[in-house]
Amino acid sequence: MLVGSSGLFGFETQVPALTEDIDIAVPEGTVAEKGREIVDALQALGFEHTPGTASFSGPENALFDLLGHGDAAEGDHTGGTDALRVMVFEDLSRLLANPRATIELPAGGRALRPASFVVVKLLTERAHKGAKDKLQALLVLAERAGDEDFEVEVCALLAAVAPERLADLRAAAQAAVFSLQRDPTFSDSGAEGYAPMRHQVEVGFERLSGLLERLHV
Amino acid sequence: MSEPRKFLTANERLRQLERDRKILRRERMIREVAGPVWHRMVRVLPLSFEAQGRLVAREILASREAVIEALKADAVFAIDTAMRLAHGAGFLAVQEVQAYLVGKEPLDRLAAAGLISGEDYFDRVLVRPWPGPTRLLACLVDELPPSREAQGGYRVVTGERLGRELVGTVGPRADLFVLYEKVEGIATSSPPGDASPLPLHP
Repeated sequence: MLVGSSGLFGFETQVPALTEDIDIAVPEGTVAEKGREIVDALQALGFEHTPGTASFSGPENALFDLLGHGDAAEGDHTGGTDALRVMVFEDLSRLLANPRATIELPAGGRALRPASFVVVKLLTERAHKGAKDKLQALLVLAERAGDEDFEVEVCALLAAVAPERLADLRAAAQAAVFSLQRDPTFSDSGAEGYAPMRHQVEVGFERLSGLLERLHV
Repeated sequence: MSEPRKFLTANERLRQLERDRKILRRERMIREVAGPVWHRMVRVLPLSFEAQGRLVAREILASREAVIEALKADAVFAIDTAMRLAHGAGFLAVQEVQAYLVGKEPLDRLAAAGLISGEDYFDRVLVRPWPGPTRLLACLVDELPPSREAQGGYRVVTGERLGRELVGTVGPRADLFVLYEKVEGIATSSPPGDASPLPLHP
């Protein structure tokens, strides 16, 4: 399952992923059962495994990270075995438990649907990565402004989120807009390339506000 | 030369997530203390003054009031200056002049009259925590923004824009936003005393 910023490669969008990594979510059970086989298979394809991590670097500087998804009731935790240990995120697990949250990719595997991508990014809590997740979510929201089916889907996913987290994500989205406006060079980690898209980010924030109003948040 | 990339183990990622959650818990406490004003404030789309055009800083050589008076016909005053002209109290401790102007002609005129420096001042940071001379911060725009007339005939940004400029200047500061709401007479459903005391800067 293609997730993270590379989720932007999984659907039609003009929003650049601005990432060097490909994030792939694998069922936690599969990692636990077949961790060694996964590592061996990737190494056979020329990907070097950094021991102790779920990161692989391949030819032409291709990098990808594996993470797990499983039972959301277990919260954020680590899974797998010593051969391959992965981080399992609660929010992502909850979302991926719904098969309609993802789409099948033409070349195999699955990716997040645009609405799922937006909600996962809005809910991502990474102080060390600053505004990047929120900016990506806002840009996709702006790009699909007026797409009623998409907005209904986003609303449905947000409706399942606790009010306190909705308040968190609204504040984080505003902080992302603010940081993009304040710092013309936008030295935030990995998101420098979004600086010219300030107007679109603002449109995305307004769309998000509209959707949250619909939910009476 | 860039440093070699450090890949994190799953346990290191989990610890990082826990550290991030700690920051979030602190932010939630700030929200709790601010009360309902926080929820109104985070709805605001921030507006960056400097991003509206080309920002020029000039050192003020006369009184701040003289500069404001000299710009009366040309400017729409913004941010802290707008707040002070419209309501008699600002939200920034340092009193400078922020204004939108169309073109540099008013700056040349004020410089010729000895009210401001003829040269641009290098420091254009809008809210600077370090000392320096009092500045005129002019945002040169193609078209002046929507405005209203304050007492004395000064044109200042609209109330709605002022709120956006406030958040776009200082970020989500509930103590300042509640002051803005109060002076603008914005009706709120929150009971009085929900936010911190007002940091008035008369």
